[in-house]
Amino acid sequence: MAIDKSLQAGSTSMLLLGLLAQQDMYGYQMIEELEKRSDHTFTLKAGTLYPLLHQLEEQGLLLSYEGTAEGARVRKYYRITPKGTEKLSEKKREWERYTTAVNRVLKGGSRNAAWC
Amino acid sequence: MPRGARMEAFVKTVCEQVRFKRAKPGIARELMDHMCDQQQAYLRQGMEEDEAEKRAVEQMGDPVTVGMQMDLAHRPKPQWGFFILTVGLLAAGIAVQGALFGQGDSDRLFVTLIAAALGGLGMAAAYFADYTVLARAPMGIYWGLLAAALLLYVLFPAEGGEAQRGTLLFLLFPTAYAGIVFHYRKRGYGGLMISFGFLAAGVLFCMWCFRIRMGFLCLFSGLLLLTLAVVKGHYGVKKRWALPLLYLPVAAGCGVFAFGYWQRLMTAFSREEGLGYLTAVTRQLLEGAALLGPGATAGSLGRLPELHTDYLLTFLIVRFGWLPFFLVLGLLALFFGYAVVRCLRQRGVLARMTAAAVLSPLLIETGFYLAANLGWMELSSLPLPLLSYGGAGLVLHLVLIGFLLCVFRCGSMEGPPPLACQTHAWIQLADGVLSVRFRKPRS
Repeated sequence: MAIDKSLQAGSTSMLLLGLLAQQDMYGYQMIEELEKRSDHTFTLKAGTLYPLLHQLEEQGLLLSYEGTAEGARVRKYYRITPKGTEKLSEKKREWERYTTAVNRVLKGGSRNAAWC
Repeated sequence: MPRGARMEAFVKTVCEQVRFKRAKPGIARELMDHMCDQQQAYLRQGMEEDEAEKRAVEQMGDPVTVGMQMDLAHRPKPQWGFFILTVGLLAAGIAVQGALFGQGDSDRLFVTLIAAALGGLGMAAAYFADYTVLARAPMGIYWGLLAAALLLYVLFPAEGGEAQRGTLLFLLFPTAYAGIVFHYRKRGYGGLMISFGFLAAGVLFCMWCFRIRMGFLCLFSGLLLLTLAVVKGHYGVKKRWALPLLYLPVAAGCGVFAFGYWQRLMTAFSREEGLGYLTAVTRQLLEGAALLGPGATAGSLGRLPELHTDYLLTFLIVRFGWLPFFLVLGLLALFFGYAVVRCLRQRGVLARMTAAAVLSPLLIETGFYLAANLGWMELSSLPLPLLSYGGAGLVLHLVLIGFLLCVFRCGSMEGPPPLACQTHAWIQLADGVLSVRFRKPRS
């Protein structure tokens, strides 16, 4: 089932930071990994990914470096910075608050529906 | 359609939306790499090459939208804070010089104002320049600078005790040398020794033909760059071997130099007044300075020569008091403190090296000048950036500051030069495909 893009928009940077918190990656690798881990729920276009990565780097949440991928091909890798790790923790807390609040509202709504 | 044409067209359209020129090669390369990877993935799925390329490009989205997003992320950062500090220091210098010259010597003040205006233009030109030229033409810049200095030495030989023309050109030496260090990085001990050779050549030339103190300024600045490069691992050498390799010959050279001046130093230290006459006079004048306003020794300022060039801060303290001096000192500390922090935060290797190369001579000059003006050492014979009188010196200092701000403005966008989709390896195995390249790619 395709997810409403407006739901995805706010959480993409959190997802990218979350991926990079586990290991350094290059752009293509991030798209593949995101798709794989989300069971094809999140399909990020490269045209969305790279501007976002560059913005996160400008904000100091990521840094980039040249690394060698498989087959000695040089790639631009991204690594999360300590500032990025802090931001990720903050976003995770926000996300948990948000989802808890949404779930409370939805559970409260279904209870009322059952009474009707 | 020719192979790769769709990808190139996509990248070209994206880059057209990005206003900042220096960011384009990095963006182009990254997007090209991604499309190559995507194309390879489609080929593995059994797609035809042309179709794979077409789908890989379609996957990227609309190039104009992508480009506009990239443009938002790549904006150079105006350095208003530094501009204000620079103008503040310049204004302070002009104000103090104005008080010194008074109405009887308006010509000199006029020279300062003209130099400030020309320097302002030079600063603006340097601010919008491309500092990565140091990496693209390091030899040309290095030898060009030494050739210009040699030309001035030959055409305008110094007479009597006057300073040799071209001495101040060596303020640019550390910046030119940064390009050399960047060029020879990643070449191990051989590269380090060659870099050291370039430093030694420039320093000895400066000391022999121009001014020893300026030579030391170039030496310390160059050593700082080399040390930074070694410590950061740019040469790929072990610090515990590389640093002694650098510093032992320098220490030996300085020892030989000091030995020649040993007798003079011992005589100077043995005197009651300390290092020398001028130092003694400076201390006596400062003893009479007040917290605010003219000090008791204000009438004796004429005992120091060349107040406008060599003893401007002593004049400021004795004539106006310690408080105005501390105000100026505070401005200098703020400028250099902030600049050093920004320099250390530069992510790009060349950006950091260039910022360090520009800052180090400014810091050394300021340190020597302060020490001389507070009676801690002999005559500095180096100018105080932005503050002391000087035509060519002021212009050069403003150009250097403009170049420093250029690095701060654009340094975050420093990236490697663009590569083609293939790497420089002549044989490579990628994603199950073995490819052999028979021709070296153009860089």
